[in-house]
Amino acid sequence: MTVVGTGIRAGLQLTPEARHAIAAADEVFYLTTETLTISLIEEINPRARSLVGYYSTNRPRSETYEEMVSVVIGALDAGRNVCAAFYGHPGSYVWPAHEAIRRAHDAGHDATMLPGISAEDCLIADLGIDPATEGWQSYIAEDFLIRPRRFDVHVPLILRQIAAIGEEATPEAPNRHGIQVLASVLQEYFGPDHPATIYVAATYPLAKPIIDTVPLAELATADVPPLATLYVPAASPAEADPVMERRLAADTDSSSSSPTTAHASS
Amino acid sequence: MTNGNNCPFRDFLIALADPANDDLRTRLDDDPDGIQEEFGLSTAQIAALASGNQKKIAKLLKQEGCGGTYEVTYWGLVR
Repeated sequence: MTVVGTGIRAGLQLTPEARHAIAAADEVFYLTTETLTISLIEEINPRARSLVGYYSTNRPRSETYEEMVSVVIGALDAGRNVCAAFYGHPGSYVWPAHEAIRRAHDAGHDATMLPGISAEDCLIADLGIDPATEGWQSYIAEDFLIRPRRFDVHVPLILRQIAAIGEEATPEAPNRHGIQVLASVLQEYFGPDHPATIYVAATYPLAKPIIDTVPLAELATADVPPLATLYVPAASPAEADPVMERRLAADTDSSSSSPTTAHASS
Repeated sequence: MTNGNNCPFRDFLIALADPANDDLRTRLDDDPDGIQEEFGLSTAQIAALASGNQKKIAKLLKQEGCGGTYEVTYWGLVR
């Protein structure tokens, strides 16, 4: 089995190796709701079948994902050469892709994941961000709220799926209450005037990404498209630690006795 | 060449999505009227492509109604 990503921009971000895997498979299962990408996948392999039909506004997404994985593994168990294609990068925020690989390995099948272009890859390009400069911390928005991790306000914060906070099933509209709670929590750390960018990568050829920067105080009422990601820039650059700088500059022998500096978030 | 079916906008976007058709982008810039006639596109569709406005493109794509058996939802097209 090969698990591939379709990229975000239809066709143009489908890698040659992913295209080959789709073409060579006996059975192709895809999970994307973008009509151009669907047309292209079905053109590459007319046997391709959508997994989107398992989504419903009335059932938990966990059940939907479980059923998707079962269908894919069922074809694999039947001896078919299977390709599963997911929107963006198949390993980035795609539970069914990882679960399918895990179950395939458990059953003794060969299973490989090929990287794809993710929404975060597009965000880096479109917003001109280099993670090497300030770092990078990324969460599903709901998980970020439910599990209060120590995050660092000196590092850019990327929150995915901000329209679906608090939704077990596939929502019919953005969950406004969830966005309000998120806006409130972020203001506690960054203040009401700190900017946040609502971002959606370009899906179509020639289309530009949606980039809407608002103060956190206005996030709760901002227009939030379904696949939006929130980018919150760092409050300020992290200060260099002179103790660590001296330690790194010291000889190897003496560095072992230097005091340890804690890396704490604030 | 006028597109023979009822989905000229979708088909043109699919053509643009093929890296082998990169010349279409240049032709769209140089001769939008010629592309419009050749592919049977509307003025609004050409304008949406020129603007690069993703929401406009998505709206026109949905208006064309070529999602097959797909239903338009908040999240996209669902079979």
